[in-house]
Amino acid sequence: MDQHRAINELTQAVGQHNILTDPNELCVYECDGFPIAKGMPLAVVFPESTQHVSQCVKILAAHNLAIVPRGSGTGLAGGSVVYNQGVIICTTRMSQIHKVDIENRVAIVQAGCRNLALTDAIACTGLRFSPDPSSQRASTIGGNVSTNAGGINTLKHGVTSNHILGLEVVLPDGEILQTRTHQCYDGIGPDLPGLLCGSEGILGIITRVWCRLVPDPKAFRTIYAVFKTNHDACKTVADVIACGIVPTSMEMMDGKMIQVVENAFHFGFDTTAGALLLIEVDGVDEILDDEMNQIIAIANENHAMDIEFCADAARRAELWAARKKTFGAIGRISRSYCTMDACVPRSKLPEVIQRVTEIGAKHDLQINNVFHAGDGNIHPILLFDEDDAAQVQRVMQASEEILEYCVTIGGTITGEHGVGVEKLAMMHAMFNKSTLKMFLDLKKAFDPKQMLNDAKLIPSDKLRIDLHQPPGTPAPGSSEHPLTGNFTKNSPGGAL
Amino acid sequence: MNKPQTNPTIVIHNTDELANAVQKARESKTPLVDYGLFHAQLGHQPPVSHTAFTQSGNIIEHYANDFTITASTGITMGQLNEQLMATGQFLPINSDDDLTLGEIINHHVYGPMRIRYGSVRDLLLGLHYMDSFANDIQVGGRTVKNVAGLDVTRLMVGSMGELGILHQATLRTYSLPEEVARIDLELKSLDTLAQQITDWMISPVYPDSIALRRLGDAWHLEVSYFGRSKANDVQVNALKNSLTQIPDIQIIDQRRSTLAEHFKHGQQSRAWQRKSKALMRIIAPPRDLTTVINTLAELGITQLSGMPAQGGLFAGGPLTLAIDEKILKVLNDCGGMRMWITPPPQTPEFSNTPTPIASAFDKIGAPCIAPFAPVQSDWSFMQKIKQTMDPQGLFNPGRFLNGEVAQ
Repeated sequence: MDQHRAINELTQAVGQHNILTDPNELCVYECDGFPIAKGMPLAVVFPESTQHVSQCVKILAAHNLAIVPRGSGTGLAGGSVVYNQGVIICTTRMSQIHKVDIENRVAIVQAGCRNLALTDAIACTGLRFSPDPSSQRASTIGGNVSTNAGGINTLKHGVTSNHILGLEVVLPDGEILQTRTHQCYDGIGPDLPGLLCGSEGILGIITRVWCRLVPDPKAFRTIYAVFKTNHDACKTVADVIACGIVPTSMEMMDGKMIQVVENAFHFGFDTTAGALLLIEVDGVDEILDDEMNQIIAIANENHAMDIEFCADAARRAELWAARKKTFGAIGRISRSYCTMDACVPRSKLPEVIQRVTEIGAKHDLQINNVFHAGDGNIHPILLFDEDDAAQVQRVMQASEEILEYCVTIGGTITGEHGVGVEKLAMMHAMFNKSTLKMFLDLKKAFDPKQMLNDAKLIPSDKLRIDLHQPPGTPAPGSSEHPLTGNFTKNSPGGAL
Repeated sequence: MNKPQTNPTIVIHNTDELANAVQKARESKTPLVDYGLFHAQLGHQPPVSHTAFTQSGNIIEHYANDFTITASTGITMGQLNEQLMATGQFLPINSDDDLTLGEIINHHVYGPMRIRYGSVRDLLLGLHYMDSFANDIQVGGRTVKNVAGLDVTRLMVGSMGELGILHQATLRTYSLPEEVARIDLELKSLDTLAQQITDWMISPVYPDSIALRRLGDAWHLEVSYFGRSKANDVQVNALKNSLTQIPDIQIIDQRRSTLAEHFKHGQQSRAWQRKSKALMRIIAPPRDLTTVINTLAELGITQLSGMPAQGGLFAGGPLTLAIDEKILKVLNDCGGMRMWITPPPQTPEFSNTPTPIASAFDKIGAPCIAPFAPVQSDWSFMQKIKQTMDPQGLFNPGRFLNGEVAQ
């Protein structure tokens, strides 16, 4: 009954047209880009303003209903999935660009503004908002901030938190908080925007963002190099980094991935190659050839079979389209796959990729690799048959082994996707008890009742989410299994 | 000012000693205080009874091929960069050599090369710090991307040592540039400076560093490039070409140097800040910085150096309470803020109330100035963070955040 009252109050707050309660429509919101985790919300509200968000939060807090913030739902770790009878606050109708200030090089946007919408809006200014996750067509800037999204250009230009100057957030009690001196480059005192970036919606709901704008490079050189082995390609990456060059991006595909992409899209890739590197440098046109030649020399030293380079916009677009279509191509060869996200020191890449291959062989799994090599951010893609429960379990086991290995060599369990619910179990491998307790204490400082996206990012005794469930386990929120997540039949995950 | 207190000063050499010091501070309810060197007078004064401390430091591991370094935070920037430069790398932070890495992080120290390399906020990958229960907390790591857990690494940047005692940091390093090309410009006016900088940044001129200085009656702008000689030539020529259309800006000098020499020049340029009887750090939106600078100049303040691309400024000299009021009015209008690195000696002391809330009068009714002003929207919320991370008020209590000062 209390739930009905809450939904009535929400409807009054945001209007009938801004709330969904029909179970058929709610299905769309039962998962994000990590479809292994699913949970049905009681309702989804679409506030149009910060005041709407504040009102909704106050209503839900008064009724003790769990609150889950969500942007476009392109997250890849289950961070916006509802567990335990909660309501989603979806920011996609808060999409306005309030101001673009060229002299101060800042844009002020509502959290639901799509990344690409801002990019398009400022295209003529010579400036850009640098974070470029592959989901940028769909993902919201609020979501980018919540997950501290990365992307292809982060090697040179940094991740989202490097480009956020200020935030407006609605706290779990409905209070609206603005961080200090928005358009300035820093403030005085602890870096609160820094803490909120990547906090996956557990501390507050981001409603407005002050985005730093940076010069949009006009000149590029794109290098495409193929190698006989993964080791040679990884060594090239490590050597480029070691010689001090900072390319805009260095992306890698292994041999299996090259075949998959070529078979799907016919870009003309050499399907006998063991690995492919796509490297780009940007900046002042006259000096790019020098950098490009240095990179080509390093690739040749590492036995590159073929090297192509271009400054031509059309060919460049084609090469990057090939990179961005890799996940679509995977869907052609496997009904289900699990995309992992770990980050390792760049010098360790050759041995890491070798170890991933060994773990795949040990568990009799096909693993393809396409990843942000320059950042050391690996994305092994584990292919599996969703109807084979034993294989699903092997995938989970292999995933954990890969992550554990990455941690032992100085890596991290997630470079850009976030923890969400996917990596909760691995947090103990990354952090000691004192550190995890400190995270939880900080969460409670913001959210004493732990109503806001609880049990995400930080392991919690209050709500245990177990992804190691066999297919068919009842969904969370159901009477049979109210507090436990399930491992449902899988479908291909989102793009990187 | 309060009378100087006779408090013990300890030197901490390792994590065990640090844990013991924190444990003792807990038991004796005597706060540990480290305000740093350059920032020694920043903020409200320490509690009367406290234990002052410093930390020794060294490089723990340099992952040269990964361009990352792990060091204990007691190491000075001079020591750190000297050792790094011997390997062809460096940490791109403009700071004086005697500042420790811990002070750089605690006070978010940066300089004009932030345009190209970012600040310590962008370079910092991982941190170890001791919490108020003597637990060694480890956040972040040594990879260049990492979104595991809350980003407490960044939260600690600018925290003025109030949330925990940093003892180890991992940072990105960069390759030493072949040379630094510096062009010194003289400006007749600052009125169009913000637009000029944006114009440069979206063109091939794109400077790596822009520093503004007031020299006598003139404004000098130092534009620098860090790179290969040939690349620097291209950008210097682009800058010169752009100047042909701007009669108000003249080239007065141009130099090529090593990065070490460039850093030395930077230190010499900043030397006045330590000698100044009063020093204020100001942050304002880049466009509004001109208004702040012009206001200061009109008030007779000539010791000025700034980072116009970032909106940062240091002002020194005969600063008074009256000048402070006028500057605060400008900052209120534009959304900027200021803090006293060295408070003016002739003005009444700061309010000793450990609160960031600016007040016109102290407890006994005498006029005073707030060390940080104007009050910002998130400062009161930051108290919650302080209470959570340092509930007993053991670390620099009341300097900026209002901790529960140990009795």
